Amino acid sequence: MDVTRNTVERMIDASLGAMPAPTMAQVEEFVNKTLNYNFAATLTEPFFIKGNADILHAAGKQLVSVISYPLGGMTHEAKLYQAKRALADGADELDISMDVSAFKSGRYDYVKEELKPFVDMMEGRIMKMIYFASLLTEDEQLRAAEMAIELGVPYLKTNTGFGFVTTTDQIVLIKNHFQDAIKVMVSGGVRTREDAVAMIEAGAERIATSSAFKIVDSVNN
Amino acid sequence: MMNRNELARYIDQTTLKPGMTMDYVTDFCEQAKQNNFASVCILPNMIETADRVLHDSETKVCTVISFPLGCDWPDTKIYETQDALLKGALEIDLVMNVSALKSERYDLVDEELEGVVKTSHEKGAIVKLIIETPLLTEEQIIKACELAEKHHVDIVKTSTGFSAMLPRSTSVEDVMLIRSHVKAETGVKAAGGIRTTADTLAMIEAGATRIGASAGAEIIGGL
Repeated sequence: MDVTRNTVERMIDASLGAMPAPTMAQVEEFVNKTLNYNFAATLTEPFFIKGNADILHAAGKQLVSVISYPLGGMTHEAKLYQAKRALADGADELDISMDVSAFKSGRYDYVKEELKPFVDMMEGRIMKMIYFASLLTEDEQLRAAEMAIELGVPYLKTNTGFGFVTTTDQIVLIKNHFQDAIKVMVSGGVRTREDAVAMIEAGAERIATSSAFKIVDSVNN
Repeated sequence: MMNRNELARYIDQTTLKPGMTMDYVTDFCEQAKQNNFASVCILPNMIETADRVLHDSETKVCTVISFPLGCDWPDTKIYETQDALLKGALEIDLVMNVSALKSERYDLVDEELEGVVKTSHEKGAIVKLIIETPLLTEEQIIKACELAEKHHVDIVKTSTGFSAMLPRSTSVEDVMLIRSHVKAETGVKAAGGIRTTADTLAMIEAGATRIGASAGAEIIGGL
């Protein structure tokens, strides 16, 4: 596959991820730097949406917030509050962790019901369901994808990063079973152009990475 | 010399990994109750599961707020605390907004502490403020202690122990530094990379009044 700089760039959600507890000025500097690129979006924690959303919107760009991140361990009520706040602050998309404990406990109906109000509040904005692929069996990964499709969630997001590395097998599994019924975003372990191209070739439609600048700058088309 | 039962009262037996099943957490709490640990520390979506086992026992339900990044606005943290208390949490381990502290936006740390402490104390719960020493300078640690004291935080906790993000574990020096900048009646909780009986005793020697650990049974078993 001939993957051009443009193709890769437009699939990336750029995150500051690797830097723990950045100052507010460091986040703003990062956000301003993303303005020079044609990324799909910039990605931050809920605290950094306010203000930075205005910077990106003024340039016609998008800001994404993670919800119940990175452990998927918030209660339904707290998640809802966090999500509403992020949308009110200007988030264009939300990457929402499913309740992975409930899922691993076999409470599939609960997990699905729990996510429904989030789907309803998006009103056309994109929601991605983080399903923690690296913690699930293949059957469980397929069941999570099925759930997302039934809910009308447009994107699955594989992992949260933080030590969880997404494999091309995880992408291929979903794409082979569900083709275009759901899109897949990779998160976790994409550090180089080669990593990104391998994920795209496996069928990924988007990539969250804290190496966004490096990946794009290394593609010379 | 401390005995096993006395050491157990220092331990917050902790499991914060994503995807722990309800059965796993139930067993984990049963064992913690048998060992008479101070608390079991779990993610908020496991509070009700833990409470079913620990209700009215000497081992309290402890949960974490805005964990592990602390990157939420004060109102979100206060809401999450209220919700956790409603579901049965009796100890609240709040991750400070480390980004706000490092940005010298102390007003935001003030606001989250004021709300979380007031809400918790009204319900008879205690608050531990996680200040994340591995990411702070000595001056920032001292400033965090000042803010904790100003808002009557019960215990200052060194770290989330979220190793995928942190450059190091909690050190004896962290505990000593916090100890020397909070009142005698304020507790200090050491957490992050504490795995052995020797680690634990060294932290207590340095002034820790609580220990966060996932290997509580092994730690008291080493005495």
